[in-house]
Amino acid sequence: MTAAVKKIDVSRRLYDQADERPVKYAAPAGLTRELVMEISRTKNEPEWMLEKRLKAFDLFIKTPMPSWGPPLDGLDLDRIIYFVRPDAVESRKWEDVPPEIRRTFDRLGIPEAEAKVLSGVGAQYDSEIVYHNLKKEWEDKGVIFENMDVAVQKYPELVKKHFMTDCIPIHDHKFIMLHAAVWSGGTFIYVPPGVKVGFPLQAYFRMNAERGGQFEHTLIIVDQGASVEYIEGCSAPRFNASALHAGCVELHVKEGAKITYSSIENWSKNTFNLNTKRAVVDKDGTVVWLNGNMGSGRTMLYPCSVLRGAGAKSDSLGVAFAGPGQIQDTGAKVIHAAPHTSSTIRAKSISRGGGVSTYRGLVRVTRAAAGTSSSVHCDALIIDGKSVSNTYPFSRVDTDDVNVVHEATVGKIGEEEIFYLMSRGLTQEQAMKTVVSGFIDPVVKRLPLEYAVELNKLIELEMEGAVG
Amino acid sequence: MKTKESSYNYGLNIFFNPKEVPEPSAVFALPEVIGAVHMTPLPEGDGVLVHIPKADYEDTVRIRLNGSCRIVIAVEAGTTVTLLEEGRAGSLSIDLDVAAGADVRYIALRSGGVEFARRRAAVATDAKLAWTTAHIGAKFAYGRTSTRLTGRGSSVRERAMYLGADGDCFDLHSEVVHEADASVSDLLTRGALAGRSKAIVRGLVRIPEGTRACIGKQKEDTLLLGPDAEVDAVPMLEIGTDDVRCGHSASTSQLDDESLFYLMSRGLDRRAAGQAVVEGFFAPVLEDCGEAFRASLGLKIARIV
Repeated sequence: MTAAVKKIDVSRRLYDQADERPVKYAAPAGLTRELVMEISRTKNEPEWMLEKRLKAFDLFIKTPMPSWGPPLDGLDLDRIIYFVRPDAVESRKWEDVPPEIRRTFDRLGIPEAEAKVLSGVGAQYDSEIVYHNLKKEWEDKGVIFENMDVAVQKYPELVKKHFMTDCIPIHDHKFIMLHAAVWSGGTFIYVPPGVKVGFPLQAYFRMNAERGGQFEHTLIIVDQGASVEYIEGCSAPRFNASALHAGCVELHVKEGAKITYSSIENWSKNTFNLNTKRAVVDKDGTVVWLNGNMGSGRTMLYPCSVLRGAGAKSDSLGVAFAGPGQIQDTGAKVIHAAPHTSSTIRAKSISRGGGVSTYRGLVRVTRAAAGTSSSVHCDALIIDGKSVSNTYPFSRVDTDDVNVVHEATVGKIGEEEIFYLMSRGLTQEQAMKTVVSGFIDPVVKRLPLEYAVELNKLIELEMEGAVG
Repeated sequence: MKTKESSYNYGLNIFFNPKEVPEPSAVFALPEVIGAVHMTPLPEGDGVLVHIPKADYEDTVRIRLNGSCRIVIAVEAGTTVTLLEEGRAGSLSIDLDVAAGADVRYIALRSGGVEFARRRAAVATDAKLAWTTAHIGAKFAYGRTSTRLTGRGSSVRERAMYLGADGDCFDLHSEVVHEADASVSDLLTRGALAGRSKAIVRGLVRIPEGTRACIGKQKEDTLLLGPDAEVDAVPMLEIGTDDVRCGHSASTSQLDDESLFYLMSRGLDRRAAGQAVVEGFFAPVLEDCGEAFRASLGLKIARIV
């Protein structure tokens, strides 16, 4: 037992260690109007972006903290550093990346992914992208895969039209206001009409500077009939002071287009992960969300699809793992605002060692959404007697031509299954790991291979010491 | 065992305007209780204590409400009894104590009106409680049924139905806390809404840390019979232990075309087929409701479908 516990600590260090490296510019802790202006000035941003930031800052100051969800005590907004720029210039060749940063990526498996001809890799190190490339052929077809900061300068019309406008407005909620005021870095993708990007685009984030906030903005616009698959993974080192992640992901799915968005988030255990992700889907468009939430002390994340065009579709799959001291408050939201739209939500959660996993979801069918169908399915697995699983599925239906179904189950690991596996020679721990990976399999098998392997490894790591 | 306040938050605004809700009748009156029971006024003077001693109860004990009141009902150990609550109360509070080994059926039937009702029960070792709450229309009905399963092997079965037509509004909660090992809950709510009518239906099953071998089942089904009807369904689970079997489900749909087609192919017209489907939908929650209630439900269905 003791040995197993020790093993966790050793293994987690892989993800939780901070690198010693110079930080070129770190703003003082706390948020002020001057800092917001300073960020905008450093980035040499156009006037409209500064206005947006300041408007959001004013709203943020006025807005109280949310009164619902998991407790956010321990989150001291005055002690967070809101802007850090690592001492690294943007580079496209692996050799040009500074050695300490390379070592971090080595440990996270980025080069392997690269080696496997996954052509487009952009990775955010603290607040700016340090490594970025995209196959030339796609660039020739007009696909844009760019650092968000650069995109503001290079593609002002596209960005101005879609950046925090009709998808996630800056006044959406407290942490979106904060994000809009101090956002930095992230990914911008534009796929022109009819272009189908045949390989997944990837980005890997890591939060490094102590108490570093990470406020990356991802904006993906897929034009009519086009399609793209985007993958991001997150891993942050562990520190003593609380860190905050308040990212924002906006997906614009135009008529007949498709986006598959996958992310695995494995922030260190003292991180508050208060993330906002939303897609607006036009006529006959499709959005697929795949989410894995492993790390963070507190997570609040409810990816949302607004189906505003007839025939639009949304598909959400999520896995959440709550270990000791963690509260995973995750779920999915779908707003059916047009006729003949359909959605499915499938959520799996595992709680262990006193962890709390909560499914909190919403299915909203408006008056305009005749001929809608929606199905929600949640399964929870509780590993021991002190862990908690909550399910709060909200559904609100305003029209009669619908079929909305919700189902959930909560249970423990089957003793019979464990006994069977142990009778075949597996140890109890191996047997439990096998059952757990079978439980999450429906989600894992939808992920690309490298990510499926990583997710399985992470779950195995978290399950170590569960027997006792 | 401590019962903590629930940590859930609805995250949605309640959709009705409180100003639109008429005041409940302020009439305060003691109920009549018919059957072999002892009744004493409560010291506060706002209600009665009904004591149901161990005896053979062939007839239903009827509680006829005459206005707002508070009723505390104590059922002795090992007693099998059926309680029927009828009439009207602007605001109602029921506390039901089911002692060890007792087997209680509690049926509350309503039609129309404005009411705020809170019904609470504690169920002791090996005792059984079956709640039925049924609403045929309501200008505004707030109903909250909470059950604490305090004894090992205790069980609760709850059946709730509502039928709403133009202008009706329901806000219904069912809540079960499994405080003892090997306790069982089974909740089923079925509702149908026509015209401009609304319902919020919330259910919560909580199994706190330390309880073992509990089984919880919860189901909320809604039929929407017109484009102006609205429903919020929230079936919730709060599970703090691994030794459970728990599941819940909710569905919202319209009249099923296939069933309608089948009935129409047997010679029913569309209207009659629709009525038959709605009646069939309600059948599983009406087991404990008497003939008279079923008949008036049938009439109401015939009027609105």
